[in-house]
Amino acid sequence: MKFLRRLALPGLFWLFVAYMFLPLAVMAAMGFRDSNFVAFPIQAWTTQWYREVLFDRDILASLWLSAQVALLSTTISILVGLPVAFLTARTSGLLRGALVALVVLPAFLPVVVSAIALRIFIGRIGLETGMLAIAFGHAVASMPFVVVMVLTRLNSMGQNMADAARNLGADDLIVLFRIVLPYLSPALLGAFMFCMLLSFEDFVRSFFLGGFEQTFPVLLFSRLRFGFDPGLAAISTIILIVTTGFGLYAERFIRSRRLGRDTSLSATGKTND
Amino acid sequence: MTRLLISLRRFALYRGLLELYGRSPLLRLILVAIIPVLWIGATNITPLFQMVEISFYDRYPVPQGEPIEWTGRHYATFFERPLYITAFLRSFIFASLATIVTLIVVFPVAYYISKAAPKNMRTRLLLLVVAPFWVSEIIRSFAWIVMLANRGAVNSFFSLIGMPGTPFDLLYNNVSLTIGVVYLTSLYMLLPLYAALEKIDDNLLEAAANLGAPAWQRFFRVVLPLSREGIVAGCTLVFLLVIGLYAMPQLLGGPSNTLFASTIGQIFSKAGDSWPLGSAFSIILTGSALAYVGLFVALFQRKRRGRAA
Amino acid sequence: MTDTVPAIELRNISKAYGALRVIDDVSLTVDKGVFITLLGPSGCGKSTLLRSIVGLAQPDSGEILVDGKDITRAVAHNRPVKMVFQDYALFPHMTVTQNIGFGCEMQGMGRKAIADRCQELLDLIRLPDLGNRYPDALSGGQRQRVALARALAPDPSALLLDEPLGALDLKLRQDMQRELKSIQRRTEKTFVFVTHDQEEAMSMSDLVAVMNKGRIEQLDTPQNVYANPVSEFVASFVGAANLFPASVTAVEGGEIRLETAGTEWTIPANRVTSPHALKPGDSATVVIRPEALSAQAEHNGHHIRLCGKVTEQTYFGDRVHLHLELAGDQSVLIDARPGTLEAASGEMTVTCRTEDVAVIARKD
Repeated sequence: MKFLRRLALPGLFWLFVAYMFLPLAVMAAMGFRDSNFVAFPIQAWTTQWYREVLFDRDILASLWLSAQVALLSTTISILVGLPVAFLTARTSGLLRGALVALVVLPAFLPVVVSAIALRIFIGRIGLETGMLAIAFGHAVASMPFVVVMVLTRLNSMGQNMADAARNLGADDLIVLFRIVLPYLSPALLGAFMFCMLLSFEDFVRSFFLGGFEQTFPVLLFSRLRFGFDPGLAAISTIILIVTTGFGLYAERFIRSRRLGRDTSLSATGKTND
Repeated sequence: MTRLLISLRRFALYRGLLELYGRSPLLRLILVAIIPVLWIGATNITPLFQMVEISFYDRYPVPQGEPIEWTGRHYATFFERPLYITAFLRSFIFASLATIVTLIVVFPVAYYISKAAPKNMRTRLLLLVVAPFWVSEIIRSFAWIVMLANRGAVNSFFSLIGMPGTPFDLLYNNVSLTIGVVYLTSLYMLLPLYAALEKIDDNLLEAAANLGAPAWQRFFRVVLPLSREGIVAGCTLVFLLVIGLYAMPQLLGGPSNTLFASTIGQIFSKAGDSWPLGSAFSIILTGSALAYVGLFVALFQRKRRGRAA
Repeated sequence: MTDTVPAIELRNISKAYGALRVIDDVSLTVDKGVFITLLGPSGCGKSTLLRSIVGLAQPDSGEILVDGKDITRAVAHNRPVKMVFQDYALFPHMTVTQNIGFGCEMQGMGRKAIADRCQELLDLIRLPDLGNRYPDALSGGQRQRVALARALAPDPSALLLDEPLGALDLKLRQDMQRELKSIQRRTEKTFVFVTHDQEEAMSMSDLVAVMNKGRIEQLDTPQNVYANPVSEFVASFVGAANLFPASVTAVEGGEIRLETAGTEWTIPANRVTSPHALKPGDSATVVIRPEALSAQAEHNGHHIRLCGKVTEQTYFGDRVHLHLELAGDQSVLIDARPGTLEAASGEMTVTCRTEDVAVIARKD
């Protein structure tokens, strides 16, 4: 046990850290290679790729689409997730179990299946593939997480708080806007960042629900299938740094607001990419 | 905002509506429930039913003016073609193996962070490992392509140290796919495991040691039973994630070892009239995956004795 | 409207959850400026009664009048009665001032007026400088006072307090009891206070309503509730009581004769504290307070004498409790000053003046 504690466990841990970071570091380095091919060793270095990808029109267009989709899907997800959480909080027993099961259902389906089912659905209701369809798909995927986060926060709110406000003369609308929503705001901000990230890095739903325009992950996927240059490594590194920074900030933000362990990004996790 | 809402109360109609809403529990329930019921019905239930429906269509979309022909032939196709059954079985075997590998790789890491590392370092270590959580499947795949390609980092390293026979064919096989998949899934395993292990009271281990239990007994009779919930949650998450993987197997896996999710995706990417077949396959995959996971969870839940292991 | 209109009037309020009658035909009139306490064990319906008054629970039947106006059907946010909640229910995302001003804001008061009113109340609760704090930066007692100020701010017709001191420790609770009472006197507001703590009820209230199983058993001043309980429940819930089952043998000449455990007691008829007169053959309970018993050896017709064996002795510093076991398994608690009782371990005799006991009719 002493041996395990002193050497083997820390050794395995740092090996794991290397496993997590080394490939990303190597990819980041590849972005500096002064050549048209992805290959080692790197003999000549350049920052040209990092500069160039930021002017690549296709990449910029895909990032813009991804951003639009993320914002739209997050908005839908929160607007729908809120009432779902309110309804769930009102129910109890078997009804609550059934409701929760239905709410989290999309998170338990294989992603491909869920994406395809939505593809059939939008075809039936006459929605074209494209930005709206992708945003819709992402909202479906992220709504369960909004519900879980809001519900956790809602459970910590004593019933008396809304009653006290009512007693002091606040009607139901004022209770909603002055008491409930402000109280939920940490959970809502956390859910906002979570949904943005979830949408931004989704591939499968964007792939099946997208039209001619590609979101960033779809663009990256299709380029990777037809050969690649160090520029892809450069843009991947940039995106990786931005999302990781955003994710860590979100994590810290949520923790600092004492939202409780259950609502942090880590504990809810995400089940689909 | 508040002032506006308060001044609105001057109007009798608004006051009346508020009173009506305040007094009628039924109206409250309806207003709160309307969006959730519509949304869940439309997005979480209807698409699945439509999928089931279409899987029994002979063709989709149904040509103008022709009646719908119902058939079970798409389900039959699955059982008639060894190609599909093989892909299906390969998917389940691969997902199970990947889950086990992930568990073995991640357990010591989670144990180290939650129990063995110095107390003041634990949060920081967790944050360090969790940092790459949000890197997407595609970027992760790409990073491993750069690592494992014929002129990638690993081969370059091997030839640098003078290993004969380089470059090795490291990419596009089951090993490279497993490395990439575990790279993707390990954080989904880490978080539930960490949460479960962290809850175990350190005093329990000391008590066990005090009662004379050797290290391996402490591990198998105290730590493992108490972290069972975390293990079950992590394995469920990871299995469902892997069984639905679409992009990574195409980027890192071999061309001959197609997984079932990719098969379904490819069927769907073709012309629209292959949708019934794809739907049938989707239902087969979903049903079996949920049953498989359900069985796994039930088996573990049944074994559970009291809390005091 | 004159001052003779009661602040709160409840007429035949009933409420049931399924078969359980939480409030059972309660009528109550509370005059202006009175500090009244609803006292009873948990589950006796006192909190539900409060919530009915503010409209957070809907009674099945009955009428609620505040300042003479029927508000039975009014929605919660339109009722002029404010409430202090057991857990205070302060809004954690608002400062102390914003919390206190919330009620005024809802009445559409101007910003300046609200600010003035808030300062006035902060002064009243003696926290003049804490207006910009958030509730989680306050101590338990401070939160309690802010909750009080918040309910007082919109100048309510009456203030309802639902076990507001329950979360505080003993010392703080006693300070807050004095503080509450003094605030009530200064503001001249009607306070309806709910508690299960009989000492709290006795020390603060002008009137105590003892509740049991959804009914008000007795409504009276604290002194009367203690000295003249109308029922066994009141006698044993308010303070400690020794209860002796007895049967009435005769009622004559302003005296009542009772037989209990083989002896006969003669007690003044005006010591029958339950509402109906007793007649021979009725069952009754004789209530003797532990502090009414003493070891003085006086023995005449105006005293009850009890002989027994001391089984237990507990010392509290300022007083001492003795447990006396009488013949027939009856056990008696005696509360006395140390030194006034011999620390006897064997047989002992105690007496009690007959005008210090109470006789209550017993239905069986």
